[in-house]
Amino acid sequence: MTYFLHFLLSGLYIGTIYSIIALGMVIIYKSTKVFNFAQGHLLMVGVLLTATIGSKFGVIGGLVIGFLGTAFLGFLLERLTLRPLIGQPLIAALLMTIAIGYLLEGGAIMAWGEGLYKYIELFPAKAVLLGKFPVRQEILWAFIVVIVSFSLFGLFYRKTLLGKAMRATAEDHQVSQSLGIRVARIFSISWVVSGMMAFIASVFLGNLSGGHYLNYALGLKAIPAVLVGGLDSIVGAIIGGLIVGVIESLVTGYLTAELGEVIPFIVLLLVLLVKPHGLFGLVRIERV
Amino acid sequence: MAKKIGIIKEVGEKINGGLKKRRERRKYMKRNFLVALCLSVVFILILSSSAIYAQSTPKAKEKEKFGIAFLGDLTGPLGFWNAPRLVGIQDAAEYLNKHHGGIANREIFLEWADTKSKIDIATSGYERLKAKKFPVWHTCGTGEQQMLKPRYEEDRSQVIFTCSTSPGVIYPPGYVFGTAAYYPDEWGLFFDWLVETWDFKKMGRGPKVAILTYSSGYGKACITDELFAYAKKKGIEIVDTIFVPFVVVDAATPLLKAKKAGADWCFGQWIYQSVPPFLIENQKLDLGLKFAVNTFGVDDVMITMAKEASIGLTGITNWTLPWENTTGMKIIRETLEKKFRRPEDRGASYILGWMNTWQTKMVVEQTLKRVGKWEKVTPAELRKTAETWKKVDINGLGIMEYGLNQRGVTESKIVQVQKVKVGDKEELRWVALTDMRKVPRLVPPEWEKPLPY
Amino acid sequence: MATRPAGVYDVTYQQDIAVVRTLPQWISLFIFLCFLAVFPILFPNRYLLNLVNTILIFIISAYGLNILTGYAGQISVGHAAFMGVGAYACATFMTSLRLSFWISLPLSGITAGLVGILFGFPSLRLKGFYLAMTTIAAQFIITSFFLHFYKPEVLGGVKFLSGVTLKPIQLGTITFNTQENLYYLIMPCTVIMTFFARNLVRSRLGRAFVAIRDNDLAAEIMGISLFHYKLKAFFIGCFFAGISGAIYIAFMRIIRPDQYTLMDSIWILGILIIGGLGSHLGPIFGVIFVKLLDEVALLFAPALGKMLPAALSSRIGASMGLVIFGFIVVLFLILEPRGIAHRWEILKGRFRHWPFTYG
Repeated sequence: MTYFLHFLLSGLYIGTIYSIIALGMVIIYKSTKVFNFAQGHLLMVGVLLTATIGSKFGVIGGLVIGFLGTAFLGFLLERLTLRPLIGQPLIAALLMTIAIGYLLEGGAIMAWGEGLYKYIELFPAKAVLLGKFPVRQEILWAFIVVIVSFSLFGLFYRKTLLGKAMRATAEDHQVSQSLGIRVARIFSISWVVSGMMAFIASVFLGNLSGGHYLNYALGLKAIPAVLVGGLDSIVGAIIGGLIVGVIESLVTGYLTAELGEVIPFIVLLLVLLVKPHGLFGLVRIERV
Repeated sequence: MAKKIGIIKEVGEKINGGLKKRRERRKYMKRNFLVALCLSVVFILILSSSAIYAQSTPKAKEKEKFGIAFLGDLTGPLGFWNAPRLVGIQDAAEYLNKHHGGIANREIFLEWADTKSKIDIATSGYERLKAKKFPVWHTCGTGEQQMLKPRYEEDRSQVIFTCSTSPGVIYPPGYVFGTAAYYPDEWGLFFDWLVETWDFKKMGRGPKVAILTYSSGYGKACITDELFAYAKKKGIEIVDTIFVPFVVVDAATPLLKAKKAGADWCFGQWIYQSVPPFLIENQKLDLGLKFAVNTFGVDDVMITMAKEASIGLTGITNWTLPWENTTGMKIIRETLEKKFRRPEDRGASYILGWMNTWQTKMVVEQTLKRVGKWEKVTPAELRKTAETWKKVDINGLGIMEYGLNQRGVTESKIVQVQKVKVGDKEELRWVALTDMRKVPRLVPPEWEKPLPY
Repeated sequence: MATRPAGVYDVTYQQDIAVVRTLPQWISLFIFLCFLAVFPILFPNRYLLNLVNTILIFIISAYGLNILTGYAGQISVGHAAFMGVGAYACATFMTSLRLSFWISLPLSGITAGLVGILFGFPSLRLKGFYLAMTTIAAQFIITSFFLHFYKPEVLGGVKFLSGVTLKPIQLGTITFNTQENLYYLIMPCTVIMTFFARNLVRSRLGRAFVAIRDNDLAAEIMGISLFHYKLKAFFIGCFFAGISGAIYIAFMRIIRPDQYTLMDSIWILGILIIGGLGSHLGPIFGVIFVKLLDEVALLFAPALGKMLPAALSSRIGASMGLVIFGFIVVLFLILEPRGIAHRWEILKGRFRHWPFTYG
């Protein structure tokens, strides 16, 4: 029984990380209709920045600079590489994010080398005991962070004027432009927010595996999480991430690890066959 | 009403005018940039074709220098292992050029090619480097080596010192030489030691081990039938085989799986980047599992990354430990200090780079002494020289042993990370638990036949 | 549409859809084919031939994806996995069933096509982006299958080796194990498959694919059965991929499960986009451009590394290769998102209606 709880707990932990990454992708997709393959690379830059600056300027300095750096990188990417592609076929924008990923990977190796960087010590090593069951501190923190960030973002998205502008842009670019919302600015803002989300996820990733240029692989692993929940649904990002994380962990634990790697994609296929737009995605009516 | 129409018209013209201007500007900008792009495409084509031709003609003046080729993955998943190795080879070449005049008075220079762990890039890198006719190469990466081995043995154009002692790479014995024991042999030695130090009476049963390794060619190199049969013979039960990815995201689940299967020890073909998360997770969850690594895991970086959690990590090696005071290690330590290398860069692969360069120097100089002239120093002669090495000490960095059908060493020792008192401080370091002992030979017999010269 | 050479106009339907129209075009085609035939004799450089062989193999694969994504509009980001299916099918036929390579080549294409149909079923319910995601799922599932669940003993390999080495192909007394021999194996296959692809899109099938791409609901209403044609598109696209994969393992003489990654699939799609999606010469341009760019980046990396001190040389040199590659692709996408083939058409048009700027 305890093994089941252990697997469930690590599944929820990895699921929360997936859902934060998924939220970043969903924000970008909702506003710009571009799927960001470089989300994992933003994570990688966040981890490396925080690890290197944190070892010189302390934990707080590392976190602040990592946060600002990742957000700024998101802004830069949108402005320089995706702004010219407005109006071009979407497949070009897709390839652009992939090429950005390559650039970021090469740039990370150039700047930080191929070695492993020790991440800053944020969570104490001792596990908290709930009854007789040891729960690692990061897991509690991950839950708290996810709940807080999702609720903050939800509040921002629903109540503030800027959030409403983002929702309008997500519906239809031309209508919002004609209503006076500067759509290009909304694109920048959504990329910046996505960068912030990538940074939050990178804190937990760095804690798990240290600063390393291969961290971008996590972005690819989060793709099933995004799609299961639905590409344009924020609630779907949480639920999709948690479902995928838990299923992956349980299958890895009870069956084999190889099956555990592939099961998120099988789940993705099944979900898409039943609900073609994801569990919570918006169903669009097509007109000929 | 008319006022509203007027305002809308005004706004419309403003937007339209601005857009039109921007469109025109963009068109001219686009045309100029497109011309530039076409020219750059043509330029790239010319550059590439000239570069291709440049590769094929060996330059005459390179005869006065000695070139070493390096073929390995520098930006892919194994980049973090190969990049320090390349730096090690370069530092060693610099040191040899300065203090020993290079190899037999020829200055050493290095040519490298990146394989990115992909076989098509590896093949084209191989073809490119082959055209330069270097007699000694250093390579790494089990997957690509297994793929290129038939070509190495067909072409017979170089002797290769490689870092993977996997099946299909150094066996069947040919032009490829390893720097450690054959991987299954190492684990055989580990099993020997485990059974010797196991308290059968207290535990009431034999030891149970779980294999926790990568799913790549390197990771699977220890999963051979002979090793399993040997484990059974020794009374060790292999309870589970769990594959983990290169970049560890979830360390708890594989460990819990191993614990659930009842394992006491986890072993696998790891390198420094994956082990610290497992060690730390083991400590946090208090699972009590013990870990074992092979020669390439006996690395100071493990200790730097995992600190207290790395106590008890066991390894098998035939190399000198990094803190020992042999000549070779002292030179390496001085160089590291002089060049301000980070602690994370001072790992086993850096030492391996030095070791390979010393090996190259020794094998070339010995062959030159034997055959007399540089023109006679062919890969076949180099291979014959290397095969005569019996327990040769590579400048205090490790003991190498080759033979007619031997491409890996026959002796290794068991080492472990422990807290020792050095002077008046307590330090974590690798400590030898046994002397150099003979490893069991777990090579399938049909693989021991040497390939032709 | 493209401008015609002056004085060339069509009177019959055959002329309208003809690929080669005038006598000079026929002559230049003939000269080009002769050039291809004697290429290894003119340039016996092994490295160059290796590169050309790789390019030829990927041209076949790119044509397959061009038919699937460019003409039929079904975005597939799993093409490399179908190449893997073809490779494994070919290896299994050759080793376990002991068929000769020449029989197992088309059979492996058909196997890959059938697997493509299996993973193409979601296309009947999904469109655009979500379909691309199911093909990503197909990519991972197929790769995992070969990595973990396909026993190498079936291929005559040993348990612990992740790759299985295969014997070179024989045809009578000729063994295909040098670059020249392999060139003469690969080049006819590429020419045949290109011819096949080019003629496919001129036929009724091709027109149905284009109709589905432009508006599939309207196509269904017009009487084009989406069910049949979408699955046929997947079959043909994956057939090409399977053939390409089978030839690839004949070329490499080893089969490994971890060579067909998501990045390879994405790059084949990227090659198509750079070359021009849905155009006739797009795959060829794209493959040549990207592969040459890759080689130049790889050549450039050590050259740059030599100029730097030891600690930085591999770090900056090797990553510069990645950066250059990504940077040129980014530039390309910003400046010409419709691909090289589009620029080629414009260039040809410029020559045809010179000295006018348009005609």
